[in-house]
Order: sequence, then C-alpha cells, then structure tokens
Amino acid sequence: MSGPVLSEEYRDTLSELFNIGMGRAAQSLSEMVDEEVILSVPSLQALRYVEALDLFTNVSNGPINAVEQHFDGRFSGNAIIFYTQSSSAELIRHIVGDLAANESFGEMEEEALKEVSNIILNACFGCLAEVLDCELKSGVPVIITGDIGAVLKKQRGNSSVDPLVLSLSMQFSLPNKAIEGQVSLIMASESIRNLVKELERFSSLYAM
Amino acid sequence: MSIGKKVLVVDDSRLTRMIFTKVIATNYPQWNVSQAIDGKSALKAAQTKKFDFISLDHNMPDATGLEILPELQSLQPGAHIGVFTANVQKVLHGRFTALGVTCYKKPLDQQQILAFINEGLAV
Repeated sequence: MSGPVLSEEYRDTLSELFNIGMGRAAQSLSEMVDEEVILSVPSLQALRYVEALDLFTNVSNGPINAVEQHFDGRFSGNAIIFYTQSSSAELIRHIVGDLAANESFGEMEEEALKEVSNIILNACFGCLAEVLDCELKSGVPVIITGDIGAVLKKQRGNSSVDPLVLSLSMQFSLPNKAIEGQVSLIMASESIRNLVKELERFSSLYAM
Repeated sequence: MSIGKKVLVVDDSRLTRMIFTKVIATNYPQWNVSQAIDGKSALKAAQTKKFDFISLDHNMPDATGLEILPELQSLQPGAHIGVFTANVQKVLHGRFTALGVTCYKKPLDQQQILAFINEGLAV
C-alpha cells in the first residue's frame, strides 16, 4: 500500500463507529460496576506494525495484560485490548470485589478480564457490523500477558505478511479510579482494503 | 410552518454531521444546516445566528455537550435542542433530561433525526 492507509474521512468514520461501540460497552460496564463510566474522545491511527510497536512501547513500557479476540467476516483481523497490570487489577477488583484483592492473576481474574474485554470488543464489532450492514464473527477471547512488545510480536507471528495496526486510543475510567484501556485492531493489508471498500459503500449512502 | 428553518449540527464526527445534513437535505430541502465541529465553534455559531434546531454531541475534544448545553440554551432560547450521543448510560441521559432535552442514541438514523425534528415542530 502506498500513501495514507486510511483517508481522513474513513478514519473519522471508523473513530465514530468505535465511539458508538465503546459507548455501548460503557453502558454494560456501568451496569456491572454500578457506577458511571467516563469515556474520553477516541483517536484512531492506522499504523505500520513497526510504528505501532514504537508507539505502544512509548505509551506503556511496563508489563501489561491484554485480551485478544479474532474477528472474521468481509474483513478480518485480531482485536486487542491492552491494560496496564494495575488497571486490569483495579478493573477486576471493581467487578469481582475482594476476590481480586491483589495483582496476582489467577483463573478467576483471567475469566473476569476476558468477560469484560469480550463485552467491550463485541460492542465494537457489533457496531461495525450493524452500521456497515455486514456480519462479523468473533472468536473466543484469549489472555496475553507480558510487555507490550512481546504481545505485539506474538500477534505479528499470527498475522499474514504486512499487517497493519488500527490503533484506537480511548480511555475509560471510573470516578476516583483511573482505569485505562486501549483497543487496537491488527489487520492484514488485504483485509484493510476490504474494510475500506465497506467504508466507501457506506459513505456513498450519505454523499451530498 | 416549517419553511426555512435553521439547523445547527454540533459534533466532532464528520460522519455524524454528514448523516444529519443528508437527512435534513432530503426531507427538508428548503432548510439551512450549519455545522460545528466542537464546543467552542458551537457557542460561536450560537452567538452569531439564530437556530430553530440544534443537535448536540456529548463527547467532544474541547468540552462535553453537558458542559455547553446551559450556555447554548441561554444563547438560543427558541431553539429545540436534542442530544445525539454514543454514551447511552442512564445516569448521563438523566442529567440531560433534567435540563429539558431529549437524548437520542447513536448510530444516527433517519427515524431518530425526524423524530427529533417532529418533536420540535410540535412545540
């Protein structure tokens, strides 16, 4: 691919679809923790794999917990939601209470984090599928732990040649409890092209 | 009468502004639609022009819809204002309802936009 991976128009469209998906996820989270969830304004970047590695390493150079979920349809890829370990522990503590009183990562904590991430990621998949009028199937969520470089390298190994990273940065937080997450999609170039086709078709519906 | 109404669409998403504008242009071709990309430009537009309808986003880069709503209402007492947001949490919608505006859930569709317009025309 030459030139920008996604035009400004399509980045805007994708950002808004994620914004809607995260808004739905926040409602679900809010019901789970019985508190209002505050959302930041999302920003979306389309990056080459090496650029994403640099960006994420700068954002978080400590250990992380991540949940990865495959999606497949007219376009496909892997979605990952990254949490710092302190954020994921705090999030789990809110959901399962004292069961997660420390930052050790047992089976219960893994299940809780996978379920929350499943809700967030499927809200995003659901919104993309609904608005773009297509079906997206999602796989089971998988926990990955380690430093962010190791997580991305594992993803790089699972992807085809020339994967691209759509990085959605969106913070969600609970009052007085800074819990941050970042959602990213890793897609092969062919799949990005299919996604762009869907965005083109959708945008043509509203062209003036 | 619904001839020559003026609409302000406040949203940082180009997609949302585009959908709103298209629906209005299709159903009310004689109406005029202005757009504001954030809270600051929304207030600036509201200071310089009278609007009949204002669609307001909540989650914007420089301010939330909830933060600028009271000033918008003060500047545009005759405008029918609706909030179109992806944030569907009941507590937030309750705050908007307390300020006298209706919340609509994104993604936008023609039905919701026309419901908002009809609500305003009925007042």
